[in-house]
Amino acid sequence: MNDRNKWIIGGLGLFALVLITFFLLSGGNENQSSKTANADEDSDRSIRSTAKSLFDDPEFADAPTPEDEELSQAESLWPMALEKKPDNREKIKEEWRDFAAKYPKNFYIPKAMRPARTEAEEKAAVQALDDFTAMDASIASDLSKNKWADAGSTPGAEPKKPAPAKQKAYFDFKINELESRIQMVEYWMQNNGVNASDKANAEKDIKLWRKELATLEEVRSQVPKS
Amino acid sequence: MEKKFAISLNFSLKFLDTGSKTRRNDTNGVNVLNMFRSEDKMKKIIAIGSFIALFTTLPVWSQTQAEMFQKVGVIGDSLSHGFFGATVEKKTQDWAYPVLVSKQAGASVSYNVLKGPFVNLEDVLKWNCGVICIASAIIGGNVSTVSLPTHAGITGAEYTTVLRTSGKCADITATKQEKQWYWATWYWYTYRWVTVADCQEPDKFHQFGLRDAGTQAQIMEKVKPTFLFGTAGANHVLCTALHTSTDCLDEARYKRDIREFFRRMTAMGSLKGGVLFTIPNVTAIAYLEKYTDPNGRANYSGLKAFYRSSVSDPNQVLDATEISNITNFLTMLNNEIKAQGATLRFAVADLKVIFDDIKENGRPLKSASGYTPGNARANWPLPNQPGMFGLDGVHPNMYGHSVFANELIKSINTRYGFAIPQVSEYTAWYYDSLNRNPVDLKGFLTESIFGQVISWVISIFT
Repeated sequence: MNDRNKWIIGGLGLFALVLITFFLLSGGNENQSSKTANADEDSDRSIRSTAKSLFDDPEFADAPTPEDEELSQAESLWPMALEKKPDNREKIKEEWRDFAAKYPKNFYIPKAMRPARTEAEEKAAVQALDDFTAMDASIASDLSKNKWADAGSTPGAEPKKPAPAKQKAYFDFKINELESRIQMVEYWMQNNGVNASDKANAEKDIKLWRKELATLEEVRSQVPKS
Repeated sequence: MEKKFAISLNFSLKFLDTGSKTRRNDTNGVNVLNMFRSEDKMKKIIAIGSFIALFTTLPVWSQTQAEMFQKVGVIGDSLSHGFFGATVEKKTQDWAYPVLVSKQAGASVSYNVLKGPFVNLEDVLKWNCGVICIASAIIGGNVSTVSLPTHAGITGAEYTTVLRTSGKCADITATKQEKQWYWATWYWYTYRWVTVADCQEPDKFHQFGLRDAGTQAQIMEKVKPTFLFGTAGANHVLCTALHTSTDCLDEARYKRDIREFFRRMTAMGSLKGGVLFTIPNVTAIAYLEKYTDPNGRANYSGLKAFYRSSVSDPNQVLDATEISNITNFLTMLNNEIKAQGATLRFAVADLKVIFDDIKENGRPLKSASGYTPGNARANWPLPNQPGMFGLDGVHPNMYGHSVFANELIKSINTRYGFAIPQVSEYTAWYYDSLNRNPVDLKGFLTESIFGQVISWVISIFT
């Protein structure tokens, strides 16, 4: 093979490589034409996927919709975020109204569904949150410390005795929440077509919670008055 | 990867070598003109050689990435599980960082899909979740299940639970003494004490997340992944922030269990790579805010939980000494993660450094066209202020997970020479409901459910 032939073969090889590269990078003419064919669909998709179509009065309303390539990524990574959620707010408020009529003192009823609180009551609610979470964090800390304690190990020293009123407020919060939780789950089971598995889980939980409730009530009764 | 690169380099060097031989021959030939022609030819050959080398190498690179991500395994905690103030559900599991990174790498992971326990506070406060929804979410359950999940990350887990907590038993190593009656002789029926397994029911995240597949470590041993997301270190230290106490710190247990976990992973023999990350500074999370005692008492000043209106006991703050102890523990914890990463030749993303920077300067957030809503903060979103966290101030929101994923992708690409594409953080922010319709949490602190949500969060991470 002479030099000239070598260069011809080399050139043809290079040409083939360039062609392959072109096909790899462009995705081929077929993809290109399908891209064109899908242009209208992409445009519809972009309109459907704007923040204004998905959210009510979104923050940064002028933020541009992600570009097509990013939109494709979003469809793959966060498909649920691109779905418009049905507006069930009125239905949910109605649900709460019905529930509140049956259980007016239930812990979980939102503020908006309760009679307005006075300033003093609101202040008391803030204090109750402070007291409850402080006690709860302290108990959690002790649990965490001893979670993996060896069998046979003894618990640490008795903690500093809290003010009885604070301890009673903690139990009041726990008991109120637990009773309310049971009411809510029972309401769900009565008013919704609960499947067998959920029903079994709920019944098991209610049984445990009732036991826990009895323990909490028993301990609360031991808290001194002052 | 290094081997493939060496092949490519060697190939190019052979061409260079051919060129140098040609040059030597021509120098011997004395003809100056021929020498110039030869050098020209040599340059062409080098160019073609390099071109061919590049092309022959590219498929090998992609094949290596495909090989490494052939079977992805995930262990971890609430971060990998997709816990979001205060529950785990399909949409939050789908946006969690291991799922994003795996998809970007052309792989996938499988997991048991949850519908609770507990509640999505964002949905409750926006009136998207009422009595029925809250009740069913508190009970929790599975939307769909798999017999052997490849993603076994579970909310509340740490390296100890990775080794010891299954979907059926809180501690598979726990034992108790049981009386066993037996025939000691043909005429004497008596008893003896025997040690038996003490299987206590685990928390619901483990029950629904792992079901009957075993502990996270056992699941990985069955899956035999080629690539591992292996970080479960956060809850060894996060407890300090949530309890405002350093009582839960246990260096000996942490070191023992992380080492045992990676010993077992190494023994599997299937791993080709993996990624770990250092734990961000837990005293800098949005859950905590600065508090100065009005009476100037040092042990009443420091960091308090964001929802607390006042401090009436030193236990309710992390004071300067405690913060220093946590910082030291975190350094030890992260050094151990880096050491394990180095031993296993894994990628290690230094999220501690990255989140320190975000806390200080925010995270740049920009669309492809250059639009920016401003830098995102290491907080939950507020009106006119993008944020990376959910309403518990501890866990990332959908956008936050995209940032997390990108930092891991960068680290994997650097370590293994891959080109896994980044996630569009702008797109994640654009479609993040909490960012687009922020909730000003301070306006809801006296909602009764808020106190209970905090109680759940605190209890999960004990």
